[in-house]
Amino acid sequence: MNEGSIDILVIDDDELTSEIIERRLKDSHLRYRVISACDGQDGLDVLKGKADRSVRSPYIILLDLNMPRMNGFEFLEALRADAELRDSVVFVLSTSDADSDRSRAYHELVAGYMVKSAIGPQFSKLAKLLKQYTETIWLPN
Amino acid sequence: MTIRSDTHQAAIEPGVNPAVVASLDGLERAVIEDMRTGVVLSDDTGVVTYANAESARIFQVARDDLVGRRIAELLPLTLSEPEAATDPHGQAQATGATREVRLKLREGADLWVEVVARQLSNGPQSHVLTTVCDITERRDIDFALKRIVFDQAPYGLLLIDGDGVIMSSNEPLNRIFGYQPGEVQGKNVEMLVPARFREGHFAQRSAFATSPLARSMGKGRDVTGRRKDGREVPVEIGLSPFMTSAGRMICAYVVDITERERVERKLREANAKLEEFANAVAHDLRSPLRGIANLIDFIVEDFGESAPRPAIRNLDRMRDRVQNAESMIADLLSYARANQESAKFETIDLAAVVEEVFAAEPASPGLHFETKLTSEPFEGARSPLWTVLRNLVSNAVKHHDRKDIHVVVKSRNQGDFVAIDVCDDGPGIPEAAQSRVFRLFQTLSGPDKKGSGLGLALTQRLVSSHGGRIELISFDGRRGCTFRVWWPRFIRSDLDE
Repeated sequence: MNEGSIDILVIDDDELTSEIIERRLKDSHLRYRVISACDGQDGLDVLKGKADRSVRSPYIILLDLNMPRMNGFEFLEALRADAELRDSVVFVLSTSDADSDRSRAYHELVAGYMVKSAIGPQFSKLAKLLKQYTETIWLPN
Repeated sequence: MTIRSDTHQAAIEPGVNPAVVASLDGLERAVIEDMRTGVVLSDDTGVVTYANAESARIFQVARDDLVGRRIAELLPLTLSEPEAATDPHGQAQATGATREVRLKLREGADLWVEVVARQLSNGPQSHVLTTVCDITERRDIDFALKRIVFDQAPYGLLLIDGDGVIMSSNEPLNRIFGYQPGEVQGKNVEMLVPARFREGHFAQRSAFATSPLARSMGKGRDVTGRRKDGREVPVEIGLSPFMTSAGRMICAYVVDITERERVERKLREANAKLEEFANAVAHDLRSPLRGIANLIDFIVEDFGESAPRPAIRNLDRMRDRVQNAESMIADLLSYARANQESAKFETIDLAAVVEEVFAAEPASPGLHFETKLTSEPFEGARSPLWTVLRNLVSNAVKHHDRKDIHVVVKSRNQGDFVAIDVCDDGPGIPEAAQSRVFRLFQTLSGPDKKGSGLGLALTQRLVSSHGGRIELISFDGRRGCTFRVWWPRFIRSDLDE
């Protein structure tokens, strides 16, 4: 499985999201590193090493949709068009429960679509999923 | 003697010696004399040699005076001027073609007659047999029909000949395009087409002339007409080709759809705005609320054990209020999105629906449900009706002030509607407050009752958008209230499709 630490890049204009995830994951035996980006552009910069933070493989991206500057869909398009980054595993984590957003996200080949209000208090279900996912799934290198 | 049918035929068919008419005896002659069709024989100089009784009646000339007259005088309108000049005897008419001719008579109203003239060339002398049939009555009906169907139609009508020349237009058509009566007559129909479409219109019109099936024009795209003042008007146009003795004609039906287009556009804009608003609410209001809830959780997590009691209590109260606001947003969204999905139609068995609605309410010891249903199954959209009844029943339970709760659902057929009563024995609704129960964000219960105040507004919206109506029956000083829903038992295309 995934040896060592796993990076989780949280792209969301609400900094609380990464904070909650950090809190939920801190008691885990695997070492997670939560890196946050405030919008799609910031996320791309982090992935390309152009920011003061950086991610290492293996990593998982948690992506919000409605963000200023570059939104989630624009980020996905840029990501899938980038030869280096196109195989990144992305989960959408949005407040939107609109069918149109969901189908559009899957069209961009996300690994899963989560609605923030439906993943339990304090994202408990998301935390559980992340742990099981990273313990079971081999992520790209 | 008996009448032989071949003899009768011989009198009016070409190719038989006309002398036979003169030489007919007795009954045979009487048959021709008595025919309800005017029969006139003329010689090769165009002079009448024989006329029967009906022809004398039609021309209003004594029979004896008819013989010796020129046929061209009797039927002056059958030839155009140049033709008449080269054919003084009127023989060119004798083609066997049917013409409708208006006879100017000295006395009384003009007559319309149908004339057929045929050359009888078999004999030693060339004769022309002309039959004349009085069709005034039929023309009168045609004329009345034209007046009713064409002139008095509630939509614009246009008659165009095969070359695109406007033969006739009715008053509504003139009004749509801003012309005076008679102004468009004789002009080319392209004058009613905006300049940028004229070329295409001409080509299509020419193509249409060869494949003439009734159809609507420009199906699926915006069709506009050009008014006299140069402005364009959105129209819907249907085309019906037909044949006349004067050649192919096209009748165009034109409806001005300005008002419809305007309303549709407004509605589309309003819908788009509502959707935008709903999405803004969904995201922009929900996120900060979620954030607050999360921050409360952080505080409890970080200081839970050591925090002072009053602080913990207030945090709990904050959490409740956040939850209330969130459910309010959810209700508001479902209100905005109500009816956006198309409903499925099925036969609705009300008893089954009500049973499901009762089952959806969490059971409690004091809760009693009862039904008195006498209505028959009907066709309709089940899921909105379910939502309506669910809202009403849960409302009755939620706002009840006692442990013992009775809710009765009754139904009966009432004309095209089924009247469904949801009755409770709760505190009732004061008459002064009844007018505002269906409004958004109105809640009549105290703060201890949960509810965003959207339930009844949503319910009313669902009922009215499906062609029904809802009313509240409750009296001051008496416990209990009844919500009566009138739900249509028919499916209406504009409401349900």
